[in-house]
Amino acid sequence: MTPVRERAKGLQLDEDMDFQRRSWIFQRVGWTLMLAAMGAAAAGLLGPGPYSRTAADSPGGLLRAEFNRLERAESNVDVAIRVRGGASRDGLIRLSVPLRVIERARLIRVDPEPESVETGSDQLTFVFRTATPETESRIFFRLQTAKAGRLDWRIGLAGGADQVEFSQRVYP
Amino acid sequence: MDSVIRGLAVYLFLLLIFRVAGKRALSQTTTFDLVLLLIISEVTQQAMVRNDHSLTNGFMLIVTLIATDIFLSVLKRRFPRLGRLLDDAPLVIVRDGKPLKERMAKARVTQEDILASARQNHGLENMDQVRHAVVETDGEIAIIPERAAARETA
Repeated sequence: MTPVRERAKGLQLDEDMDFQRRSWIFQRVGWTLMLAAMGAAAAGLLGPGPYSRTAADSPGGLLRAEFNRLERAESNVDVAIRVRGGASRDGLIRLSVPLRVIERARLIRVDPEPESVETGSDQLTFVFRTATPETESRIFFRLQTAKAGRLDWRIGLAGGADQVEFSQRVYP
Repeated sequence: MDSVIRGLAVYLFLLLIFRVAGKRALSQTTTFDLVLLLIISEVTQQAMVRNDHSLTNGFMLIVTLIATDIFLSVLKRRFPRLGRLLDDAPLVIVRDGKPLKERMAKARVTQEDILASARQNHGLENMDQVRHAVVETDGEIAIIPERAAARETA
């Protein structure tokens, strides 16, 4: 009778349980970080959200900018400008926006539509007609950012009557 | 330049996120897992391509991803520890017919998962017919049945 060949003695497997345990710890730390990132994003720490939403007032009190301090590249950036009653001249509100903002972010829409747009060496001036000069007006700018970085705004009333400055940080 | 950086960033981010998710995240055990992977691929594509749908951009992204993959595979061959770091390692979850419960819990594998693999791949009926089970690096469960471990006698 020919001899019985030996039963296989177990798996030929390169197992490293120390590495495996470290892997599990790494995974659990990773899961915690993922949860934290989700919470941060929901709270507006990584883009638009409750933390991010803020406003800035001009020194003279005629302008108020409502915006998200944190935005993301390739997404819509919405900035609302409140112009207090009495800031218009001859029924016209003239708002200047720095050209460097327009160069960094593509202007998609302005609501209401301006009556005209005037170019300057370093700014664009949007002219809006208001039917009720004594009441507050709201103007919305929608832009789309192309690159990450910082958007520094300085929106002013024509003639330097007042201006509001604020910055937005854009994530990639 | 932008395409290359984006491609690299997305590749490395996906490598990291799936490493954190664990072996089983890749295994597509349910229809929903497949749907999830499809959604991830769609999101990834949009993040990489953005508004540039040119052939050049597409080709550059493909080249970047493949080149990075080749580079990492060469590195992994050269440095086996790096390979283990990036790809994880197989994990025995049933040894000599005994389920290793702690490992199964850590790997998020249930007895039902083992039995499903046993039925699908070997036509086995119950856990008594499973000698060894290993969670491989791709998330699949490899089963060594009891009968495969025995040898013929003359």
